[in-house]
Amino acid sequence: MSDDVTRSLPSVRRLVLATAGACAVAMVILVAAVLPAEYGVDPLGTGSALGLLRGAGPETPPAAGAAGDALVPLVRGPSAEYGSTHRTDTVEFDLGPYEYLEYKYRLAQGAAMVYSWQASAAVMHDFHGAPGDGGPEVSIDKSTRARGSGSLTAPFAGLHGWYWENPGWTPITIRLTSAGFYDGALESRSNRTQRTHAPAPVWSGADSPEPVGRASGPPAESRE
Amino acid sequence: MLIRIVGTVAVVFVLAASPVAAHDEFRIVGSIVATDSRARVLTVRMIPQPGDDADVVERNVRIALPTWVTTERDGKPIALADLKAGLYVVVDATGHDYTDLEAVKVRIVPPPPRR
Repeated sequence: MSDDVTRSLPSVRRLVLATAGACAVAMVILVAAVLPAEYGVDPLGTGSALGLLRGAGPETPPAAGAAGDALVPLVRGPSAEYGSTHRTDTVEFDLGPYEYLEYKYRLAQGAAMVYSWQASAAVMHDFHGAPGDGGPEVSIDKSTRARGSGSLTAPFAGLHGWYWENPGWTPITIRLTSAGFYDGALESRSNRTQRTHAPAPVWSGADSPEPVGRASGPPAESRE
Repeated sequence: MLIRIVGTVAVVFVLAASPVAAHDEFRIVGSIVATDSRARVLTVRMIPQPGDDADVVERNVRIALPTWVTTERDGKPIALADLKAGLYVVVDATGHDYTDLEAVKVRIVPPPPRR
């Protein structure tokens, strides 16, 4: 009987081979399934094919489309030029009790925006950026307050914007207005809903506005 | 034999990898209904938020309390034993859905104002 037991045990060579094989299979599964699902890293494309990317990380704002590189600034000393017009965005959010949301714009490195926001009561606020390459988020300003105005020159390409959290039971409304060289925004809420926003360009190439002072109609002072 | 071992390990890894696909973050706001410190489970009567999905209704949610969970009140750490029925809490948790939640952070907050 002990001979039978000895005979049924695998040899050391087989065990080593089995371990090596298991490691190889584990590596394949790690790269094909675990990395896409957990970290949003999808080198083989299997994550998107199997739908594993859904819970991995934030959705990205709408693609730049025709804007693309036109939103990358060409820096000339103190000024920067862009290949397209800037965009403007005005949005209003309701925050329920202890609810939080993030609203972030996608900006190229060096791209600029200006903004003003106001809340109906003080909110926990974190103005921050998330590098497009998946690096750690960088907080610029963290405080509890009811308004903010300022400008940003993106220190890196990625998503830049705000985290706002209602610190109490009373619902809060936040209104944000911004203008800048971004091509899309992403709204993410604590109830796990995500919405993309596509702020409109101030004008598209062909239909630029009339210069000031040459608009049709009577001059402002004679308008009654 | 070799194929059988490799196959078994592969199946184990595949089964282990599949739940992470649905790993999600949840915020539950509500009042504590019960705490089971032996089983490390917190039951919270959750209050639906405006904008929640239609399937989110006022109901009891059981949340596991792992050893690494952070518990606090007014920004200061508290013991699990301080989580008592009737207190209002904000729980940040991860999981697949409302039936499979593991707390990351539990904050005791003041009760809502009376209407």
